[in-house]
Amino acid sequence: MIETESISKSYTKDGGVTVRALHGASLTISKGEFVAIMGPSGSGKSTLMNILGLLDRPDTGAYRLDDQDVGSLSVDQLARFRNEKIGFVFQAFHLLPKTTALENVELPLVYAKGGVSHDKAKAALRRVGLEERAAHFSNELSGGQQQRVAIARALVNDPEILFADEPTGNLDTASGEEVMKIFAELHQQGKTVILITHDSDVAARAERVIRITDGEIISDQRSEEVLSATGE
Amino acid sequence: MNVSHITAVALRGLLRNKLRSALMMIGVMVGVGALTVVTAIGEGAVKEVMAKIESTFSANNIVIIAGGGSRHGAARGEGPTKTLTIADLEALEARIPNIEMTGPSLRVGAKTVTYQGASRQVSITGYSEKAERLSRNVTRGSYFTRDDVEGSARVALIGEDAALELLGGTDPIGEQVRIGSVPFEIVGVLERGGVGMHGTNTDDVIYVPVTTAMRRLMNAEHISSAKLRVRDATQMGDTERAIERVLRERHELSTDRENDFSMITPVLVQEMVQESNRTFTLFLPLISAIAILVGALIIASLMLVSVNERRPEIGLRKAVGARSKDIQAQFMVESTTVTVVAGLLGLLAGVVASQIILGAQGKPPTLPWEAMSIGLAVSIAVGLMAGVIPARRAAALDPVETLR
Repeated sequence: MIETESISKSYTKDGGVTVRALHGASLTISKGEFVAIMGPSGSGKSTLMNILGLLDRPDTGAYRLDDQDVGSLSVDQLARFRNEKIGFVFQAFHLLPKTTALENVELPLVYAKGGVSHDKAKAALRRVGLEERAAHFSNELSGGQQQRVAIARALVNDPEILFADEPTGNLDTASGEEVMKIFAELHQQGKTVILITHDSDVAARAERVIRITDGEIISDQRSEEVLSATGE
Repeated sequence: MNVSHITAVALRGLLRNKLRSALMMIGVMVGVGALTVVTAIGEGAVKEVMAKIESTFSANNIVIIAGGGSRHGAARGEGPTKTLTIADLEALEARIPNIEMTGPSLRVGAKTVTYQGASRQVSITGYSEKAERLSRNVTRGSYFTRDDVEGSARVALIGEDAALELLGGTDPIGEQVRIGSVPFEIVGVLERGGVGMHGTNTDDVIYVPVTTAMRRLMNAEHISSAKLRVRDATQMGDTERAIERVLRERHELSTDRENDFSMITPVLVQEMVQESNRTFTLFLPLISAIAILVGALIIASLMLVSVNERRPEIGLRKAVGARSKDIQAQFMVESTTVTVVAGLLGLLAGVVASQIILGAQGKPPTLPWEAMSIGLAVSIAVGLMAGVIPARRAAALDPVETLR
């Protein structure tokens, strides 16, 4: 359902230097896959996720999502797409301060057609095992709990695709493990999960690893092949 | 875009960020509060001044004040002030048919008044028996008679407060007081007049016959002012000109000389009142408006800071589906919620303060509806104004940048 054809993206930094963040990237991801996009920092993996997640547009190339050419969509249409089809999980959680877990999870509903629904939000919290913490404020939760609330928020509109940018980057091993388990469960339930990471242990949890360096995709293999290739 | 939900969230934000909210609201609160107080008290004060002026200068009255100065300005008492006489008034009555009656008065000023050893300063004014009908009456005893005036009798009328201060609780009628070194008998107590036009206590006074004032207290042949009543108020202009002609003739003023008297007519009074009105209807509300504007600037700048702090939040909202107009609406609603809450609090404080002040002045409490609705409308307008630039800034943020 995700098809990119030779997409490129460049940024001009202050000082006039042009950085080629992504160059000629082509890939296809089918519904229900669990993919890890792996690379060192500065490799362009975040840029790729931003484009795949409809937060950014490529300079050249085409991107078809669900058989729709997203290059022709307006900014507002893209926003609607994200609201309905995509859920994001970020390394820094990005929960709203001075706001309860429930209110955080409800956020995507505010911009959805159905409007805010306490039931939907509670259901999402239940899926990540945090229903009893619904009334807690975000600063009263541990890092792992905050990330799980973020996952619930990403799920509340029941999107098809989940994008996670270094989801365990700010977590200790135990919490990180909890979070990865949830992604595995969601994958089993039919969600398409796309993970961005520089950590090979995290990447190993996915079925498929796409490696990217200096803006170019250098490999795209089934996970076991990757592991055996690196001798782990 | 659900406005009631955004408003609820905005109110929630206000409550959860108490310090920031308090700082934002102060300017508008003070401005609206001040506006409410000023309007409520101003309305009352203006009405009171109007009523006082109308009772003194009712439509049928003309006041002549000795002393020149501009023809149309308030009397300034410049130039020769000893030229107005009782004979002048008699001439006016005789020669101008529209004049119904005239009442002379002579302002003696503050003199030492003694009663049984105790003395204090009291303001003394001389009037004729006509003042009973032209100015105010007595509640006890009796007014001067024509004979009193013609004979320069040593009789006096005393105000309630002066009586209380000098004689304590004793009934003043029949008692003897000394004005300066001259003994007088009190024959009447003046009805209450409250606070006068110039802020003086009109109940701390003593009236004596004008002729007595002239001959026994001041050794003068002139009077300081006169109140005239006309029969037909529509002919006021002609009467005014006739008075001017007669007095100029009697005072032998050549055409190049200014009047050595001033006249105050109802038209003039209306103009004076409108002039003082301006303070309350223009000047003070303007200052309050400036305060409110300052409040708006405070809110706008604090909101800009807030937008900057909340860049990740805005990016996140866009990532989960907020469009630019959703973000704009959110911040406009936030700033308007702040100003409306601040305005309501300011209104409350202003209404309470104005009721206390009016109550202390002995006036009936009135809810200043006009001020309140203006204050509320202003609050909403200010909120929208203050929110425009911060909202636009917020809406223009790129989620990619803010979510790094």
